Amino acid sequence: MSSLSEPEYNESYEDYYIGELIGLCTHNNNHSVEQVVGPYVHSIICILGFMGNSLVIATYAFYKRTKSMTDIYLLNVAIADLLFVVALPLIVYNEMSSWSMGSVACKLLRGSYSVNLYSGMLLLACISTDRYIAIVQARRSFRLRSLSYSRIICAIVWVCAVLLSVPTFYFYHCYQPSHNMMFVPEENLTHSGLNLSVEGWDGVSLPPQYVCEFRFSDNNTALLTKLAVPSTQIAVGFFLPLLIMIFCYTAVIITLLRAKNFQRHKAVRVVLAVVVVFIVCHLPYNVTLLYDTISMFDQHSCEESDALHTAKTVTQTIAYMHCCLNPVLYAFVGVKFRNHFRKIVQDLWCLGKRYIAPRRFSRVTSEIYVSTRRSVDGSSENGSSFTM
Amino acid sequence: MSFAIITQLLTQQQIRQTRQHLSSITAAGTEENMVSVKATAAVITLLTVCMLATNTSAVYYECCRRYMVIKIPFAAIKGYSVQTVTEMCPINAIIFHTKKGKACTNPALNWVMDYVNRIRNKAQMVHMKTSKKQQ
Repeated sequence: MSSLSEPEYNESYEDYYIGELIGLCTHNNNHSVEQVVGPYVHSIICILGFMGNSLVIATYAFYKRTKSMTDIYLLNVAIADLLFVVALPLIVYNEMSSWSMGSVACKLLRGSYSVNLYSGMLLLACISTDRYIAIVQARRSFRLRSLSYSRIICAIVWVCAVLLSVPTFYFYHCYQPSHNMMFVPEENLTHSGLNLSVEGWDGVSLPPQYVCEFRFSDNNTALLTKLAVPSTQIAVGFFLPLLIMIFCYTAVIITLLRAKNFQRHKAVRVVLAVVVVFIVCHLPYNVTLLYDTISMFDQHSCEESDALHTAKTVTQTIAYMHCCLNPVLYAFVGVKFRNHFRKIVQDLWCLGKRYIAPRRFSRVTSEIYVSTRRSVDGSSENGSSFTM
Repeated sequence: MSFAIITQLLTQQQIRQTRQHLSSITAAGTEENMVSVKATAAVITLLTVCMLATNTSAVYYECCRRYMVIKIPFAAIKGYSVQTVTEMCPINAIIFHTKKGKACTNPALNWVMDYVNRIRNKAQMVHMKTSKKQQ
């Protein structure tokens, strides 16, 4: 029947000529980047991020009560970043081979990744606003920078982050991609007459392969969500905080430069570092993601697709680095914070010494302890809550 | 409030002096080195674990990104798969499995759907024959 509708097509020609095939894109470059750079860099990011952010949380938990708006924001950023670096190795591990942790873990890990991404970025915008109010709108600052306000704002940020992540929670599933299943007409048949088998590219049967990816029930939802999720991430998770930060920190720098003080340049440098690190970390990834989103449904050659995936992998890793830089840029830059942090380290040493070297260092330790105590007390007496 | 930062910055200098004082004391401690050795060992162990865990290749994320321009001979086709945008891949495609490998084709084209129907019909025929035989 079909040969009637296509008369130009003849059977003998069919038998010997196949021609060049356009197959599935294997993304070899991206794989080698993922295999070599991915695990190493990711584990370094995870270790540093875990240490830095848990130190910040420990400082607040044991040594420093959250006294100001800035404290609450910094604590929340540290919590978001910590959750992020805890979820990250699990996601990386599962993506390296077949997704082995099941559907619940798939939804939870992808969802928490998204929640922490949004909350982290929005909280950084909150910190910039807080600094703007503290420095530029100094008169209103006592009323606006109260503890209850900042708790409400943090709650709003987390709720927004969860709401923005609902599509991720809802549409991510753990499944076997159906395009890996081949329909073959064979003798041993299923009821439909078509036999389903899973094959690799070379025709060798593979074990069941699970992915943790988007899955939808209909075409329109699929197209819409596949565009909407990354677009929202770029808009709310990058451009909105970036615009807020640029506005607030520009005003802060202008105000600081107007103040006549020999130390003002240090504060300006810190502000610039915060903005520059944010842009350097997140701009490349978001530009790549934007290009990827715009050209998602277009046809690409495998080389293009591979290059785009590789760019995404590399820039994403750079973006991940931000969560281990946050403790340094925001918390440990502060004088008070550094003193508290030093105290933690020394207290840990004291504990350690009881087990490792009971006698030898005891005199030195107590000396350090006393002098730190003095410096901590000294710094906490001047009333500024503005950590910079 | 900008004044408050400046006072902070001023105290920072004093603190820095204290810190220098502190570091001169702690420099005597050898356990600082021990801690760093332990940390390095932990990092290396973790990295090794990660490296061992990654010794697999992922063929799962392969997708069709472009369609065949020329037709494939029907005789070369062993079977087909369906790639839809409702799953992880960005475009719809019919993947024909041939002797030479997989071929991505555009489901909007007539010959593609015609091939799919032919494979289905073939399967249906085989199905009817076999079920008759079994009865």
